[in-house]
Order: sequence, then C-alpha cells, then structure tokens
Amino acid sequence: MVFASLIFLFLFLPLNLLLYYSTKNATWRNWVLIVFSLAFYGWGEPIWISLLILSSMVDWANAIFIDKHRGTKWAKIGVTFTVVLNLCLLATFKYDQFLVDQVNALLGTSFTAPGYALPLGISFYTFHTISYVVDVYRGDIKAQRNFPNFLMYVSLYSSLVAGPIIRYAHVATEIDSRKENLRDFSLGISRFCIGLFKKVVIANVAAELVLKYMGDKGSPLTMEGLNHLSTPEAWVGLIMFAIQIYFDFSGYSDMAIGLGRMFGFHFRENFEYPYISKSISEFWRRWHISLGSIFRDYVYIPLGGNKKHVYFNLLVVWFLTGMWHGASWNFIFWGLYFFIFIALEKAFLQKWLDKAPAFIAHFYALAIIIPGWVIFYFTDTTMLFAYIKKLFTWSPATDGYLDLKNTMTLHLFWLIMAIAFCMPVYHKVRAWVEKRSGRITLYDSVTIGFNMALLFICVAQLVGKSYNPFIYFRF
Amino acid sequence: MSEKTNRTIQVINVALFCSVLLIGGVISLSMKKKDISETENRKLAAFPVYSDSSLWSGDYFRGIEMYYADNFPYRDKWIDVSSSFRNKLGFESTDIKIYAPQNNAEANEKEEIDTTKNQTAGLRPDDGAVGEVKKSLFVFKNRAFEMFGGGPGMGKAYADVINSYNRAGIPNLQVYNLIIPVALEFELTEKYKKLQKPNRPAIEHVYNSLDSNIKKVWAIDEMRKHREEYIYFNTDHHWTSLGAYYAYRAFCESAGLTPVSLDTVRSKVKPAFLGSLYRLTRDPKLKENPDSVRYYIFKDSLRFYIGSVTSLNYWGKSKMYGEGASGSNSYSVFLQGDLPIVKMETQHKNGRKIAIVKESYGNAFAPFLINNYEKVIVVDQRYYTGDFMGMLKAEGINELLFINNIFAAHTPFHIQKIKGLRQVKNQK
Repeated sequence: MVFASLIFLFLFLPLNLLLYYSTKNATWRNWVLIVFSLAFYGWGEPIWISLLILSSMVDWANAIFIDKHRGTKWAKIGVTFTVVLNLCLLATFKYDQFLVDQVNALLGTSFTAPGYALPLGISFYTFHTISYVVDVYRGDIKAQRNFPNFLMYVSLYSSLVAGPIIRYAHVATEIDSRKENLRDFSLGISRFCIGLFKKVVIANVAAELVLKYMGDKGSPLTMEGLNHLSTPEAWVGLIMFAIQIYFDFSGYSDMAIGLGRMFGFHFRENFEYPYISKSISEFWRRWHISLGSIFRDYVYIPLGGNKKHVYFNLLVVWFLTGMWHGASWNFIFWGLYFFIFIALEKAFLQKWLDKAPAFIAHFYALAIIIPGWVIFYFTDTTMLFAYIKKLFTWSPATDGYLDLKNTMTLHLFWLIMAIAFCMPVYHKVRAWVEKRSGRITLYDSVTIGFNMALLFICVAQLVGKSYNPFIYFRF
Repeated sequence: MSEKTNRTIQVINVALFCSVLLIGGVISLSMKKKDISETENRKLAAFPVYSDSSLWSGDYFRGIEMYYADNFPYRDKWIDVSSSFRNKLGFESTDIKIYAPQNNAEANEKEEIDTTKNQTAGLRPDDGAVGEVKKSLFVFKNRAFEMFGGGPGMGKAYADVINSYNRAGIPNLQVYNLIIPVALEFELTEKYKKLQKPNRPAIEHVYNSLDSNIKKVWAIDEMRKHREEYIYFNTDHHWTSLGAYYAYRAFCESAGLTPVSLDTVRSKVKPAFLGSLYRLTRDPKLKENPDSVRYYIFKDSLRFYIGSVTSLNYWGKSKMYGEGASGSNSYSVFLQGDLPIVKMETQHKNGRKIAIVKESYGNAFAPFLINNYEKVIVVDQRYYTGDFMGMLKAEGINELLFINNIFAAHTPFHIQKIKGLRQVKNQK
C-alpha cells in the first residue's frame, strides 16, 4: 500500500488510529502497529511477509546471543553472521540478475538468475536490522528481549517501504515505552499533510512532465522520441526529474515522520533542503540523511574515515551508495560521479568554494547535482549516453518552442511554488512567527485550515487520477 | 499564548483530521455503487474476484484499490475540483493548448461501453483490445481538435484492402471510397501549420492507390467550400450532420444522383452536447462552447431494421434515430449509435441498393441516402462479425461505399477490421 492513496487515507489510517487509541495498554498498541504494518506490507506482496518475519526473528535472536557472549569470539561470529545473512538476502533478491550478468560477461558462462521479484522495502529493512545488530555488538545499545517489540521496530509501516532508515538507537526508548501526546499528534498531522501535498501535487505533476520529455518505465523514451526532442526540452525534462525525485522522496519522508509522530515516535529528519547546498559534500549531508549516516557509521569510519587512505574509503562508500540505489551500472556510475566531486572538494575545491561568492558555490552544486540525475534516470546505458549528448549538443525544436512555451506557462505558478519549496521558506516563516507569541496562536489556527485545504486538494487529485475518459474505440 | 489556547488548537486539528477521514471512510463504504461512468464512457472497476493466485500475486488487493478509487463518493465532483485546480497551475501564453494523451496503455486495456447501444440483437461490440494511437489534442479558439499524423504506408495498406473488395469478383458491384478529413484541416492557421499533416495530399495518395474503376468521393473539396459553417463539433471528435450533408452532396455527384435539398427538410436538435474532446481535456473553454446535435427528419416513408451477426435472415424492426440519446451521448442519435448492421428500405423502387462500411462518422452520413436508394445497409466495420459477403449477395447489393475518417483510414486496427469482414465468422 502507499500513503498517497484513497484507501490508505480513508480506511487504513482512520481504522489504525481508532484501534490504536482505543486503549491505553502499551502492549495492545504495539500489537496494533504490528498487525497494521504487516497488513500494509502484505497489501502489495503478501508472500514476502514471511521473509520479513523470518529475517527479523533471526536477527533478533542473534542480537541476544551476541549480548550473552559479549567480548568473546562468539559475539564476533554472531555479528558476522547477521551482516552476511542480510547482504545475502540483498544479493539474492535485489542483485541476482546484476551479479549473474557480470559473472556471465566475465567468464562467458550462461547462468540464469533466479529472477525473484524484489520484495518491497528490502533495502530498508535489511539496513534496519544490520545497524541494530552491529550496534548491539558494539555495546552501544542493549539487545531487545521482546520479539514483538523488535518486529514492530523492523516492520513499522511508516518507514518500512521507502525510509527513512530508522536507527534502533534513536527510538529504543520509544519502542519500549513511549508517551503519545496531543501536541505530537497535532504536529504529526500537519507534517503528514505537507508530505502528502509534496507527493501528490508537486511530485506527481512533475512526473507527468518527466514522462513527456524523458519517458518512464511504462513507456520508455525511444531513440526516435529522443530525436524529436530539442536541447531545451531535454533540460526541462531533467529539471522536472530533479523536482520529482526530491518532492517524491522528501514528501514520503515527511509523511513517515508525521505518521510516526501521530503514534508517539520521533524520527530524525531525512532531508534538509538539499538543493540549497554549496557543495556536493554538503548536498549529501542534506539528502537522504539516514542513508548517508549508515554508510558513514558502518563503512566509512570503520575503514579508517579521515585518518587513513581517505580517498579509498570514499571510493568504497560512493560505490556502495550508488549500488544501493539499484542493481545496474548506471547507479554505480552515479555514485562514482559523486565520489569524483567529493574527492576533489576534499583535495582543494572546498577551499576555493569557501572563498567564492555564495551564488557561485550554489551554481556549482546545482550544475553537478542536476546533470547527475540523468545518470540516475536511465538504466539503459545507450539511452543514457544519447540523452547526455542531447543535453550538451545543440538541437533546436521544430515547432518554434510552441509546445515548450505552452507547457511552461501552463505550469508556471506550480513551478514557482516547487522551486520555493526547495528552499527553507517554511522554516523562515516559522522562525518569524516564533518571535511573538501572539503570532503563534494565529499561525497554529491557520495551520488547521491549511491542513484541511491540503488534504482537500490532494484527495481531489487522487480521485482525478482515476479519471480515465475513453474515446480510443471511438471511430 | 496560554497553554489552554494551545491545547484547544491541537484538539481541533486532531479532531477535524480524524473525523474527516473517518466520516469519509464510512460514507465511502455505505454509498451505493455505480457500474459505469457516462462521462468517461467506460465501465468502472468492479470488486475483484477472489482466487488464491490473485491474492498471492497482489492482483486482488490492487483490484480492491482500483474499485475503491472508481467508486469514491461524489467522484464526478472531485474530478471537477481536480481539473479546475490543474487549470490554475499556470496560464495560457498563446491561444492554443495541447493536451498529451493520458494513460494510453491503461485505457487500451479497458473495455469500451456504450450506454445507448440497443441490445436487441443480443450483441456486445467486439472488445478487440486495440486502441487508437493518438498523439495529442489541440485546443484553439474554444474548440478542441485531433491532429492527424498518418503516413503514406498506412494509406496504401488501406487502399489495398478496398481494392481487394473491388477485385473479389462480385458481379455488377460499383465500389466507392470516401475519406473524411478532420476538422483541423479547415482551421489551421499559418502559425500552427506544422501541427498536423495536411489531409488533402494524404487522401489523394489513398485515392491514387485505388483501382481506377472505384469511384473516389472528394468530400473534402465540397466541405472546404463550407468551412465557415457548423460542419464539425467544437467539443467532440465527430462531424455534424451538416458536415455529413456536404460529403453526401459530393457522393451524389460521383454516384450520379440528385442530392436532397435541406431547405425543405424538417430537423430536430439535441442541445447542450459536451462531447469526447471535452471529456478528454475537461478544458473550461470547451465547457463554455457546448455543441448541439441536429438531425434531419425526412418525409419519405422508411422501414428501419436492426440485423444480426449470426443470421442473414433476422431483421428486427426499429427506428433510424435513437431519440433517447442525450447529453454526452447525443451523437448516438444517428442510427442509434454503432450497431453492427442496420437496414433501411424506402419507397424509391429504382433498383439501387447500397451497402456502407463505416465507423461512427458514417452514422451521421447514412440517413441522407434514404432519399436516393431503394435499400441502404450500414455495416460497422468494427463490430460486424457475420457473413458480410453472403449478406451482399442475399440483399442484392449493387453498390458498396467505404466511408472512413482520415484517422481510421490510417490506423491498422480499422484496416484489419475491414479486411476481416471478408472472412465468414460465427455463422449458424
């Protein structure tokens, strides 16, 4: 199931809230979350519930085992087992085709991959459990003795399928005993509505424009289609994708954080206005923060961090970051693309950027980030290089840019809004409001109406999406 | 701010949000469900049928989700809100607007329904599962247009199929071909001329590929003389009966007939028609420019029959106009919509008996022929699955007209359907 759907908004969520708050019993509440999370997960692919429960059970037992044998070689074996097991799960379900292709290419063999469908959210929950078990091994946290509580942590539907990656250490106390309160509930609602709006009104509209210029999975861009595209249209398509992916992903994180808060959890921020960064290193401290911190804490620092062979460490981290995003070469290229600029920044560029006027640093960052998305977008390398060529060699439109001009003005107010929301407008307003308490009352009252308005527009858009007029048989 | 006000605001926020979702959920479960959406001309998703395999593949739940979205309370009103919101995301910089087709692939999978279709023959149209490939729609001067982009290869394929009927060895059969241009042919200005391929050269190409003894009807030239008149709808992809009348005049010229004059003919009008192009774009400009559907009532006595696809002998008596058609279905007034086969018999005992093979454009055209023919049989190339060649013989047909709009004449689906008429199917 997804958050941005009518059935989630009008059946799943209200029922979930109703049952959750129907008693004060903490055990009952946790069970409600577990049942709803498994239902949420199983809605799309019921078969993979078993894998989720099984892998949680193994990691849960393993963590207790490690706790017991702390300081012995058994603990080391335990942690190795968990890491290997989870990476094997990823290799089997996510990278099977990719790995088999590489082996075949290298050895000239013709193995076939098992071809499992990718279980939903596996990239997220394997990282949940790895980070948990490693933290237990390091002695940073105590092992969770209660399996239902652990299962709730792994399966919590707000962050199960698309992040953010929740670190056990950050929510350990809230798992065992959390204090839901009205303020959190209210703030969670407002956060959720904003996230929904970002997804439904900004990302979905951007997706239509991306489809128009760059194609999508259902109707991929063909060479012929690309030949008809002018260079400005190719750039517009790419910028629309930059908008789409940011609002899609950060909107999802907002909804997850908001939902968590409605149930008394406090998740950390996952995005901090990445497009206002002044360097690539800064971009990655603002983009998908929970993933970056995982790679920092479990790969970069153990490898030696800044202390020894730092460039090698960076290379490994960015290779893995790229690979995490998908099982094809373009994602690895995309990761390595960032490695190059981060390494350059580390070597000398950061010093230059610090001295340069802010607008140059901003321009530099966007000029690297936005073209980077093209590598992310096309899994087919032939199309990727063809599109890059289109971006950087001039080809004009045949219709005198009539269509492009139209498309731009028809979405002009939307575009201004999208660009404004890439910047911390909301935080600036909030900071201004908080200067006087009278303003806060007004602001909070307005927020109620604002939430309703956002919800109203989103529901209309979600219903509108099902509008499917039919004249295809018409003649 | 006092702690109390603070709390009140939070209570309102939480209560409002939760009750809106909860009440919305209760209403959605208790509302009566509809089967079809008339504005979209399609069947709404039904509740999925349970099976173990559909459960494990996730199809069952996806089906429930589609069913829920299709049956959401006050869906039509929500859609209005959605489209008016979408129109406020920017402004129009030129006097045109181009709509890209939406959900093409999805739409093609769904079965078309026609709510006005007379079901007496016990038929449903072949669901064929082939859709039209349509580039996009063009809104200009408060009207919407489809843009023609067909290529000569397809035109040749169409001509070959028509030739095959001419060469089928049916004795004393005169074959005609009439290709109808699309509205944009007569409206494009210099500035936008690149938006579609000119229709006349494309029609000329088809006609040049036809056997010399096939009569080619230059409806496009006759229509062009009357381009300032109301010959196409503003909000629908069809032509008006007046447009069809000018094509009929061109046809009469080819066929050596005297066309009826409209001056003496009574007519009726169906007002407030917002057609398919409005439904597709939901453009507010179109909504302000609704159409009316005029149909002509001829004095001559007429017997109208609906035929069967399984028997050449069954002819059920009926009426030429489906006067019940209204609103967005008003065009179905002509010949009651797209029936697979109908027959008209008149008082003109001149021995001229014509069969027309058509898509829906032909519906507005065929009624004029009852002024000149003893017998007129109208076959819908998409839905007729009976013994077409046998029917021609049984009914003593001596003239055969293929009438198609220029899109249909350049679309594999239609070309295949016309070709397929020659194969005998499900005959008892």
